[in-house]
Amino acid sequence: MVRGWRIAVSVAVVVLTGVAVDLFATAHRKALSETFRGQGIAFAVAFADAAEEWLASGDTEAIQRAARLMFLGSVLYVQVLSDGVLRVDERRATLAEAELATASGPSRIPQAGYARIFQGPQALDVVIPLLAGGPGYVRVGFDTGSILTSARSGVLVAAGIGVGFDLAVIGLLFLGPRRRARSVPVGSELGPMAIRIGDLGIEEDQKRVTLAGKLVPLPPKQYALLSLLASEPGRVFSDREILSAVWPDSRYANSKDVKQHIYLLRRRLGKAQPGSEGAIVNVPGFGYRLEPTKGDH
Amino acid sequence: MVGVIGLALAWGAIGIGTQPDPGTPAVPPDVARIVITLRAMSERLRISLHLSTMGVLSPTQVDQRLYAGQVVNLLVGSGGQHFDPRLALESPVPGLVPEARTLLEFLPRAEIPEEIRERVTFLAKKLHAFLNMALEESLQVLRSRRLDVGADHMLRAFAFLNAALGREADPVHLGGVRALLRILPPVT
Repeated sequence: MVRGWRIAVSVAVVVLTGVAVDLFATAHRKALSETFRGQGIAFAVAFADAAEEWLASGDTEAIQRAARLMFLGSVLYVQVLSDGVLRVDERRATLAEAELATASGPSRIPQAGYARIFQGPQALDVVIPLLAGGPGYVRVGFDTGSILTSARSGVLVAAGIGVGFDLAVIGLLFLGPRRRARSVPVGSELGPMAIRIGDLGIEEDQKRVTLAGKLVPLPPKQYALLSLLASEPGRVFSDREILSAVWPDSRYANSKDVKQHIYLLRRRLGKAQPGSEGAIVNVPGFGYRLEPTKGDH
Repeated sequence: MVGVIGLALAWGAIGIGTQPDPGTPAVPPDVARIVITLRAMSERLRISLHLSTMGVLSPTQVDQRLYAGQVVNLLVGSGGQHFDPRLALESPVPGLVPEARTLLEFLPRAEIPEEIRERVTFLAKKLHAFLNMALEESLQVLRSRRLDVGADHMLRAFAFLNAALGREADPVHLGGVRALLRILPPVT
């Protein structure tokens, strides 16, 4: 039953993340298209400015040269119409065979829109009216491939973040309770850094041990030994593990020290609550483990 | 070294063509050579300003790098360091930066009126500095990985190129090629 609601929450999180990623992708693509459109108009205006100057001096070859340079970038075609006559009609080599009609309807303001001018992906078609001379315009077409690439990478990043978020939430839902079940921290009585195993309470931040509500004063080594055993109740710790955890810097400590400290620790616990010496169990040939005292269920 | 010799030869060739006009006061040949070089530089600076404008307004990084590369080519000249042969024009171009450097080296021994020598040298140093800064900014455009950052560097390059060209009327003596052309005696 408990597992059921976790699965339901996980599915809901995954679905919501999917929706969020999709919304982000749409908004991102729209923002990219708008930016590209604005930049495209500005770029075409700058080119139209120069083209108008070249037209005034009768140097249409300069426009053709500039257009050929632009084809190395994202520009697909360039059309210049002045006094109703098509002066320049250049396009990328790959589009040499394609038909490109002149823009219809003279306008006094720049026009820009996404259109499928040729076979293939959409192009940004920008028409800038000429300021001087008779009716005319400078028309530039941009390849929108760069928007598609940027949009795709944006979606990939968003999807990556979404998957990471989903994994983190699902991990917390399913693995969190297991970790808590191993060693139960007691917040109300003993503070946030505390561990309770049955009647035994260990407050890590204050280095304090209580047994059935009674304080058990322990010297550092015995405290470290009890802390180690309490970190995973029921698990058998070998002498070697105990030595490396409790006497990490001592080359002279050995199994006898472990034995002696276990004995002393048992005695202390027994004084605090008779019968609790048995909480530390000797597993012959393997080591020692901590068994929950009687208050644990 | 090759650039210096090339420029000296070019100046020599131009000098042959600049015969004194009997109607105008005689201009020292060195001044004539400097003025002709400066006029050619101002034309290339105008082109580089146009290219950097296109670079600032480019809709994609590919376009932006294309124009930044062209500006770099104009600044360093054919065969110069950072010159991109893929964007090269049909005819070799002398770089604006090497030309400004050669001009600086030539000025101390050039035959120009003494009363303007100091001012011309000062402005030539400024011109060289502006062109170097424009080159540095244009190279930053080629290194940048973002369109907006590249546009920012391209805009600075534009500002330095504009300063290097100077203004027709310059009330505060900003300098530039046009200021040099105003100070130097007119050459017809």
